[in-house]
Amino acid sequence: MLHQTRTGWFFASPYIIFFLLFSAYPIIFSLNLVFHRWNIISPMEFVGLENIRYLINDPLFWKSIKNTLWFLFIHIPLQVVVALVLANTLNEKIRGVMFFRASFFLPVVISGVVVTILWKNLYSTETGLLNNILTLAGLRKVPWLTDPTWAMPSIAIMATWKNVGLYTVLFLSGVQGIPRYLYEAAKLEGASKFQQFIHITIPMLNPVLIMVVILSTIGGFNLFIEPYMMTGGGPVNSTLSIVLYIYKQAFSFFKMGYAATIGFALALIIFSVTLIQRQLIEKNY
Amino acid sequence: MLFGKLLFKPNKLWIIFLFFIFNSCSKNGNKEENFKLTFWSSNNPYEIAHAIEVVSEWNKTNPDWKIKHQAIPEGRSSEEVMLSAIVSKTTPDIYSNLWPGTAQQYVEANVILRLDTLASFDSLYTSRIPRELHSQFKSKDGFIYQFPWKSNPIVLYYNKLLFAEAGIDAPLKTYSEFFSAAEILTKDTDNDGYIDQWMMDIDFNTEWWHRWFDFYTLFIAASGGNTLLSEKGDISFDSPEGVKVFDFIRKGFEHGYFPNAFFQGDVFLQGKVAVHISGPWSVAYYDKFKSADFQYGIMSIPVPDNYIGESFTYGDPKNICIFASSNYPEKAWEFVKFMVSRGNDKRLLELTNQLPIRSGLLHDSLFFSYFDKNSTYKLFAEMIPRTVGADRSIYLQEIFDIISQEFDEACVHRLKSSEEAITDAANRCRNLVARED
Repeated sequence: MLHQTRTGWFFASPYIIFFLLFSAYPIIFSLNLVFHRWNIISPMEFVGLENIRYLINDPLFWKSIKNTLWFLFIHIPLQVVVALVLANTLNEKIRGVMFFRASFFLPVVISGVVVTILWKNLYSTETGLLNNILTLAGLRKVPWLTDPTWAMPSIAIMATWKNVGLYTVLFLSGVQGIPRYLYEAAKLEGASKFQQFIHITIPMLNPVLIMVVILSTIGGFNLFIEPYMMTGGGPVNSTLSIVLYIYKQAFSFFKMGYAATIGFALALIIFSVTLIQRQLIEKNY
Repeated sequence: MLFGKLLFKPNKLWIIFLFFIFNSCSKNGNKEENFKLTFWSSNNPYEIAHAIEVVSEWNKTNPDWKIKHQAIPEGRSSEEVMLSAIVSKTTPDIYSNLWPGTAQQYVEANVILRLDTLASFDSLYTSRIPRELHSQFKSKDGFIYQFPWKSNPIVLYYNKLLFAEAGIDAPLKTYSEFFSAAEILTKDTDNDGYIDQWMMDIDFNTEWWHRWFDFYTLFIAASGGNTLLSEKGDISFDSPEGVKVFDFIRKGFEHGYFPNAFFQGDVFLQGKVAVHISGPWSVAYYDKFKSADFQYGIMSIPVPDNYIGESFTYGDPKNICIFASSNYPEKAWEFVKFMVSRGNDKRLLELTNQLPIRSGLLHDSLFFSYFDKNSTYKLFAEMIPRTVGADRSIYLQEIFDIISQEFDEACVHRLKSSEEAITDAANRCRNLVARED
């Protein structure tokens, strides 16, 4: 029995060591940082609740939350709708379906940095492809990334293009798991394709939908590469996301204590929003 | 079979595991030469070539004190990389890419060595560094922790062909002259209803260090060589000159003289902008990549119309420091002295086209041949005594970030007036310093 216990611990030990080193220790260390001022090279200085007090009164922190929520407001519905439509389309018997499935998934596996460089060029006001098309159609150029009104929606569209393949695959597996007899019965009752989609597909996809919305929300709250590479948080801080703000505090200004405080605030926000989302979706379906 | 036995005898497996761990952690220094000092240079190819030559010559004449050269590891900025090195205790003995703006932080954390106590420092410092710059590199405590090495005076490059076609004579000394030229040079060349040639490009990225090359340089020029903080360390850029500089940039964006857009490639070489702000490093780049008919000239930074006095600019200096972790600081100092010798300054010019901070650079016969062959650099060398570095504040990066945010709001997007933006920036900086101190 003792031998078995030791063997058990032995097999579990890689994960336990990994967890202690790379999860538990950093979390405890960060929690400790919340109550300290530390610029990495000088000794830590205990500041009590100063970082939390400053966080509450920091307009840029609230601006970054507002920006991130605005991003989520555009990105999540867009992503869910596009992924659902794509999943249903790619579930049909169409020629070259495997090619299209692979094509839509391709951006997911391309490096985020590469995608942002590509889209930054597409969005270029003077030389970008999108504005060239608009001017050819007789329309005005759009300042995609240089105007505070347009910048975040532009990033949300790009993020949707990058991630939609993953959620399409999730929805596709969900769609393929819906019993065919439900559709056959509905057809016999005279339901149209649209009615079948609304009254069968969507309710039956509820578990996948919950997962997609929750994963998109968590991913959205972690918005970083896109504004970091494309706009640096501008124009006028309109694309300053929470994670980008944490990064700036930690690695541009070396305020590790304050960065950790924002990090914990972000964790709390994600936890609360996810909980609310879950309850709302489960209640409605 | 063997694997199965090992798997169920954890003690043996642990021994093998520990063997691999210790083996991988063991030093492989015995396979390398016995270096006693390490030196990190910048990682641009020209400076690497320079460092290799300097180190190789040192190693030949000092076989017992060989130096290992390494370019600073790649990172988003050398400041970030150095910070990682400090934290992980892997700093070199000598480092030659120190931006004075970060020096104060290192001084207060006791990670760099005071140099002015080392043998023959005073004589070297006073003989090599132009008198006008002597106090610039002192720390807040009045001591010197960095040896001024090279300077990159920021200037305006202009497209000679575009200027000639428009009948404009360079240099453009004042803001009025600049905008009169901008009025002519900013135009829609293909009549499609959109401007496609601008006066000057300003990188409006809000990353803090971008303000070195627009607001800060223009502010130094407009204020006759002032920096953001006063001698006492108080915020002092909320002056009439600060407002004038914001007004200048704001007007450029408002009238469309500066494009509010990202571009692919070099807009100056493409002829899309007539003027570009940069340092001496661009000379070699332009000479290498310009088309056959492209000609450029250099002029100093424009100043407000009522400005009287000499022209000043940002020097973007890079200095040398010795880390306190060095086991042989005296020997490291010997190497620093060797590195800033006349011969190595000549080498610096020839290999990197960067200018050593050295008195009488244009009057020293050793450098005549270089400046005869590279007359463009004479203009930069003349400017060195009128260059300004960075303030001594551990909050300098954040101060620049605040200015950058206000710059974005007032100059690029015109959401507030220049006066409001400068006042807000200064007040925010004062609050920052008060809070952090």
